[in-house]
Amino acid sequence: MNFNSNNPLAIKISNLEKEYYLGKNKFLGLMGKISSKNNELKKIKAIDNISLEIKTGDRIGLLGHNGSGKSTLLRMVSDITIPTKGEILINGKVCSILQGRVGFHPELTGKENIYLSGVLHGMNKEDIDNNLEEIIEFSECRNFIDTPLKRYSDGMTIKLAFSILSHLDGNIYIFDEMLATVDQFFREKTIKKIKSKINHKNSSLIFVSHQIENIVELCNKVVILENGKLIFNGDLKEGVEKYKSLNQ
Amino acid sequence: MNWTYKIKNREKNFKNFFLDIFQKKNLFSEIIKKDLKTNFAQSLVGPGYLFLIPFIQALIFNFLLTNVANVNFSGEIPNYLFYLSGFIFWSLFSNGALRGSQGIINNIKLIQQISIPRTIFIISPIIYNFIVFLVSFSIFVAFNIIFILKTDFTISISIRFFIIFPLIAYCIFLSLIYALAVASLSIKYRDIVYANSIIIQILMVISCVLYSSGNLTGYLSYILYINPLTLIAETFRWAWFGSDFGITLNQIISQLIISFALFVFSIKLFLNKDKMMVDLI
Repeated sequence: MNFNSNNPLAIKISNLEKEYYLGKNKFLGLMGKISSKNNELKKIKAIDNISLEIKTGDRIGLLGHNGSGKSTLLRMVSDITIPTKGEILINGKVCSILQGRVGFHPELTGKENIYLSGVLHGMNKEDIDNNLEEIIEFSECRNFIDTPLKRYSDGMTIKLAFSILSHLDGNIYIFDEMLATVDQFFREKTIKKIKSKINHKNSSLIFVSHQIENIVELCNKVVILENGKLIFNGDLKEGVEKYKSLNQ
Repeated sequence: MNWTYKIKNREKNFKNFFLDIFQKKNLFSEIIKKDLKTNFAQSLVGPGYLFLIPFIQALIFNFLLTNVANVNFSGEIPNYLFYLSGFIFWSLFSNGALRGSQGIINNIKLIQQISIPRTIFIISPIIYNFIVFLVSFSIFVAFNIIFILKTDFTISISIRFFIIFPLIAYCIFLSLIYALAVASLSIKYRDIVYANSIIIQILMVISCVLYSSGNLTGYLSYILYINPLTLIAETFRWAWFGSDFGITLNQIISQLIISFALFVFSIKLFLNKDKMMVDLI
């Protein structure tokens, strides 16, 4: 059951691998080299031979336990770290929030952070000027907008981060665990916003959450990772069942 | 099918290095603004500390060398102005080099969260420092005017002044070389972060900041062949005060070749580390 079989590809991942060293950093100085008994450090495959195609219009719910490689995969798709093997082909502009932070600086005020983060994510200054009111309104932080970010709560920071991101002009959106700390009301508003954004521009989404209800509400496909391997890629209902059965 | 871009395990090349800088040039102003606002958060004088540094340094060495040790390197020029002229340009190099080389370590969080060319974090503190330099330099000019009015010291306006502009560019270029090399080494080896300020001090001692090139005699004169930094203070004093210029053409050529070679080397080093930066840092 594939809804978008005719749509063009947005992301094509082929034979992707990412290795990390276990234990202390191999390069940690002379003392480390002398004291370690075996110089060969163990490697772990955080991502193990994953191939995946994401089409425009796909809304992927990425599921998996902690340490299954979800964030590593998203980091590679967002071009923050590079794969050890394989390649990712991207068609469009990627906008990503990883771990709920988007380059904010705690000493800057909310408004200054909107500009900083917006520019870092590829917005023009004029775009931000035009959208500033809307961003502040959506974030529900109007009263605190001239206060340094270090005085904000986690939830407020996420709200501000999301309202900036929702005004970015991209077509591949990536959200990693961003709805965990916001209240119910904002969660619903956010989901509505994401949906309208994606339908409106026919873009695609990769969404990571440990809360199944978010995935069900937002996504039309599920990808499950376990120990760096892709163990499921397909329909939403089946995927959720599969994920639930993993937990038992 | 046309793909916008491709992510795979590969090293960037020289072309990417410069493309990154020019394509994302609108980021510089935001990062510099961020640095200006955050580096001195909750302090009264703010970035004022930065442009005061050369004046205080010159004061300290003037006291040590003129009052305590009773030496005179300066010739006709008032001692304080002589040391100040060295430190004004030295601070352009050293602060840019220091802050630029810490740019990556200071912005680890941003680098781990957003895909931006990392060169920006090295270059923006250098630009930031250039702005600080412009302020220091205007205070330096004011000091000169005071000296001219109050003492019988004079400066003759001449065409030599125009050499100051390329000199500033060369000085920034040298601080970029240092910052690129140290920043890329610091990703793997943090030792260099701790050694950073002492390295800068050593460089200061061998760079004609406190004396003129004429004081380097015998074996020491080889420093003039290998240390590109000696050209800066010497040229500036020649241009500004009209003092003797003691570096030969051969020495200048050798310095320029060395600095260009170091530039290529530091970019190569940086590109090599850039690939694995997020994983190693």
